[in-house]
Amino acid sequence: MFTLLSEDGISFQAERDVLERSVLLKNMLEDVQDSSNSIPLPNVASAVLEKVLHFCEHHRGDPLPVPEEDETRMRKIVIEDWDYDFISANCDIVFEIIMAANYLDIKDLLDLGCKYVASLIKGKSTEQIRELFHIVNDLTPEEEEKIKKENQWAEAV
Amino acid sequence: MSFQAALESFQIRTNLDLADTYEKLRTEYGSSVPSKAELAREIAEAEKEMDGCEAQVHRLQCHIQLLQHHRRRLDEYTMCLRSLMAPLRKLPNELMLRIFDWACEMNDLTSGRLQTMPALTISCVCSHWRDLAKSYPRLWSRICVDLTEMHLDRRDLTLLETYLELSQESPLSIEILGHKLETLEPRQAALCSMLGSYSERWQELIVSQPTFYKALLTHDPNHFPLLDSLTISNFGFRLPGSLDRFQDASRLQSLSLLSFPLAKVHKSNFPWQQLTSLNICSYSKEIKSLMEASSNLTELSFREWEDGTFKRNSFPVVAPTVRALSFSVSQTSHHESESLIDVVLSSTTFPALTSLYIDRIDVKEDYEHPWPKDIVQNFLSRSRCTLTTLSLKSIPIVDEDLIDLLRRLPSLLHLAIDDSSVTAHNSPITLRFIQSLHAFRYNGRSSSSSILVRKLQSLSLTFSGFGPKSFSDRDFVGVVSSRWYSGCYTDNSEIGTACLSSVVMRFLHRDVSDDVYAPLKHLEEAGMRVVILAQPKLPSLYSK
Repeated sequence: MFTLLSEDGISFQAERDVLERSVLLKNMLEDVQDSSNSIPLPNVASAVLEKVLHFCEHHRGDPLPVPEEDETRMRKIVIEDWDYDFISANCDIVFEIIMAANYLDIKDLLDLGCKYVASLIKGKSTEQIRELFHIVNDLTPEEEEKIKKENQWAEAV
Repeated sequence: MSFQAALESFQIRTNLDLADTYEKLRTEYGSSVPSKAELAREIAEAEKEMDGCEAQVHRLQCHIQLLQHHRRRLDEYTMCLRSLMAPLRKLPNELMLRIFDWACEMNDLTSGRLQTMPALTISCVCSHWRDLAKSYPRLWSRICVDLTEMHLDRRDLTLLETYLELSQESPLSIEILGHKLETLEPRQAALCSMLGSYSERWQELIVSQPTFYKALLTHDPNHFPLLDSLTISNFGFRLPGSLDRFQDASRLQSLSLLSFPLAKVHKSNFPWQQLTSLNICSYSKEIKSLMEASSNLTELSFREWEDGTFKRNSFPVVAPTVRALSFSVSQTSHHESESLIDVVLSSTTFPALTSLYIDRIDVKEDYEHPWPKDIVQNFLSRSRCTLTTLSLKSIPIVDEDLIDLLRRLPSLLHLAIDDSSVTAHNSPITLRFIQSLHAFRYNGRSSSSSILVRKLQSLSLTFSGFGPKSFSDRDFVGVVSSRWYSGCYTDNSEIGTACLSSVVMRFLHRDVSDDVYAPLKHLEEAGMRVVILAQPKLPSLYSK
């Protein structure tokens, strides 16, 4: 068992194969023989680290995702049942999970978070998106005018 | 006097005795009436005070407006602060673009609704999103047009121009959809022609109708350096020289067609040998030449459609490189057509096959073809393949036939069975099937030979039955536990049973008891991947 220390000083224990879902931790563990020293993770809060470890435990033993050869291709958003339940149950910290997954280099968790947020964006109007993500419309009058011209072909039905 | 001082200095007279004045009105007449001068002075004082009241009301109204304006500003201010505080702002640009990339899987430019054009929608949200979206050509490169939905004025072309311009040099994914049209309106033709002029950037192309395809090829393109996936109907190959058109498409790997003019295969310069994935909707004896020409094919899919014809023939077809075989079946094929699975499996041999997927296209339609037990058995014997993955979705097969099939697949690692839209008497997910998977089941012979699919590593079941008694949860838990323990704690060299490492059980119409499934929670803690989904109790039973 190895011990991880979160940004706010909380310790978490996990087995090697769970931690190796993270490329960052996998590389770190290669240099660590002694598991008595805890591994500090200064960029991940305990509430987020707990969720990240839950995800990694669930996917322990799964083949590691390989980088896609060509990400320019059209890709459909497909989320497995368990993953959807996991990410939607933690939607209040989904951006923190995305950042933690990016920092720890856990591709499947990073993709899951991004796909979930993308699915929230899809099919919504600009106003709904602003409301959902607390975004203020900071466009200048000139930009607004340009957008209006761009969009008149789309909306004037 | 300042505005605030005026507000505060205003005094209301408290000795205004209206009751006494009414009494005077009722009683004082003649000589007892107060003097005119006295009344005039009183009236003047009251009018002066009324003016003061009026001024004060005006001042208060101004104050209210000021407060309302201030409140609006505070509202805006807090909204801006909240926006600054929003977790989304912490995401670096590369992660924002990753999210946008997923959100912009396709832009439907002819719907007339902004919501179906995610790249355009995203670019209108705020200045930061606008800058990001406009700087990322890929978001604008996935374009869908439905020519029969298209409005015959300028807007579709203008939108298309905007998208093509912002996509810069990014490879294009293009879908041209719509109903059958004999002739195209000038705008429709112009739109196809515009997309056709970007053929050097086509990466994925889907065209649904011959007239669209013809209009797309107005510029007679024959250079497709990026094209890797092509989905067209048989019409594409009826046009003169159309097969040769793609001879230099060096990246073309995936082809999807409704039907083939198979006789033309040998005479064409189409790069058949490059294909790794082929999806077709017909089957005839010429398939033999097609398989011979497509010597690197690894994925082969057959799909039934309303005009498709599947006829059994006696010509043996061998596809030595195909590893994954998929069937999308339906009851809606041509009335003279035979069952797709029967036709294909009765004459083909796939020695390298590792994965077999069979599912239904439209589960709302009835599907009455019986499971072709003997044909499948002969196919497996003939192919001598090492099947590791089997997936049956909404396919009627009785438990006995499924168990028989699994007995013939000792190499199976992954099994997925979904009985949704299958009548109860044709569902394979029964007590007998569940019990047949038990690792410690003794049938009077040596234990190793009696274990069904002993190398099984993952099991996924979707059960559509109703009611608590429709499924034996305890037997299922027992089976899963036995496959875990027999793999992890017994001598593998003796028993040869693999450890089941993943189990997914979906109940579409019933709930489950946490107590009954508690043993699986222990297995999950020990390392097994366990997902139990029940209705109406979603999400997962084991969400921590």
